[in-house]
Amino acid sequence: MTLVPGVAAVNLVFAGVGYAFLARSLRARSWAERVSWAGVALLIGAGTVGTLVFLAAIAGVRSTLAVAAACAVAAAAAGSFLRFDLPQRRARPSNSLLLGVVGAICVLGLVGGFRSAPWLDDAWGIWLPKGLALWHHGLDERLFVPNGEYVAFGVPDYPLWWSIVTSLDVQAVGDVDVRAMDAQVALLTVAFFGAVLRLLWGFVRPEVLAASLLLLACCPELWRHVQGGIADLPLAIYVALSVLATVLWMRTRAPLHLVVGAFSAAVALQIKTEGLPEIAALALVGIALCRDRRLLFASLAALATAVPWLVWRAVHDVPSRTGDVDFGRLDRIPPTLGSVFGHLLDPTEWLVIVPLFVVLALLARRPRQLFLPGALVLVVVVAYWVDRDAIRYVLDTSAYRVIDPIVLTTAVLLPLVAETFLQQREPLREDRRLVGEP
Amino acid sequence: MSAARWLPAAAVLALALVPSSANPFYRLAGSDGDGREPTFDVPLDPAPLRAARFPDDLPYITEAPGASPLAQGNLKAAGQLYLARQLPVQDRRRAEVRVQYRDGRIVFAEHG
Repeated sequence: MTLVPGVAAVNLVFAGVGYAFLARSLRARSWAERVSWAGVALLIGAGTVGTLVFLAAIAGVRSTLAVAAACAVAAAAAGSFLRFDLPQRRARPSNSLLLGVVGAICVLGLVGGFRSAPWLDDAWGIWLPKGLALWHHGLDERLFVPNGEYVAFGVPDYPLWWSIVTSLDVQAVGDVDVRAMDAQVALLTVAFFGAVLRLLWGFVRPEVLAASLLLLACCPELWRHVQGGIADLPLAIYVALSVLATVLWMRTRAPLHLVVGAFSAAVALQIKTEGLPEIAALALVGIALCRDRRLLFASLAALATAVPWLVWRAVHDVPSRTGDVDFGRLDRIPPTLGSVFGHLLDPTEWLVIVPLFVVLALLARRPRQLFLPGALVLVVVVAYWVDRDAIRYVLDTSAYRVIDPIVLTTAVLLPLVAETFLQQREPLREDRRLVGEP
Repeated sequence: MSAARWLPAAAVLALALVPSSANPFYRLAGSDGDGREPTFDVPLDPAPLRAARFPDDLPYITEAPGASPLAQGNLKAAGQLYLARQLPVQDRRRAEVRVQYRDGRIVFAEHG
């Protein structure tokens, strides 16, 4: 196969697995409603298959298309027994003008993904080669644990979900084509737009939802990261999806929202090392906000999925930057704050998503909404503070992208605080409590 | 539903057809488009690596004597990308093939 059919085939399988999880829940629904769950389905399927193949690799199985197909069939079969009561929310007819523009931008972003090679050398220099090695050699310690004999990969402590997913794309394409990486990020990003639209539909008035999505779609940095092939964006997508689904669960107590929240958190843990402290911090904040035992158990279940990789690393004595920290150099904090907030607030990167969210949360008297992205900011700042590499170097080479989870989390919460803000300014109406506080 | 509602979306798609580096929609759609190879930081044609047919698990080493660390890093990554079936080793004596970088070209040298 060539690039487009190869990547499309892999993602159709992902979407098929996701739909298998939703099949019983969507049985009596219209075709239009079923299609509207495509973004959620793709993210669930990619997360499931990538995670299962990663776990199989830890167990000693090579990451081939055949193994991925077996994982997909097993996951689809198991998922087809699930049934959730989908939250029923009616909304007025959508603002198709704005949503149409969002859709057009997504189409262009998708085209750009398939036509561009990753500009970040980590993508083709580390992430994809790891995936190809998993295909041909499996999780072979000669290549995945630094030693004096073989040339091992950089950042050996990083989880391998992104390497595996992009390797599956390349295997399906049939040849090394690094554009497959950008194509995959683009598909996940467009699916993220679809998932946010689907999950927030009926919770937020359509014009607010459309405007919020348009604001995100117009961010130059979002699509620049798509064309970078970087793992930070898939991490951000699953972190933000986890936050959104969990916040919705705090309002609906619908099991589907809790499951999607915990599941997305589990996938985030398989993508990058910072996923673990970020998900742990978000879980603490979430539990503190709602004090519900079900969220505690769901968070623990999600966090438990990080254990197999942590055990493999420990057994094979894989060196990790997180094991060598220094809390003594407080002078690293001011430049970190300057760099992180510089990127978060730079209108040429992420427009006004973050400042607008902060202002609306304060105006709507919902300061607790700031705790979730605030927890992510704290994790990022502490990570730079305790790191041992030259602070200017690490900030210049990574701060612009490690903030992705903060920005996307803010972006998915923005429509909710905007809706709250607008409702507070309207005369009392029957559905005034459409959007409550977690 | 009026078709006019879709005009802004159609306009966005149409704008992407205007080939200009100043056009954000054109850039979003991938500008002129890239090829299937990585955008290496140094001149490096990976065609010999792509065409190589070595046995699986063959130990190889990459060498870029006198080249910059960036070139050495790019060569190492190119080896891991295109020679994924083989095994990169650190000791020259263990390598059965040496992948060498000479003035932007890749050449193979057999052991010995």
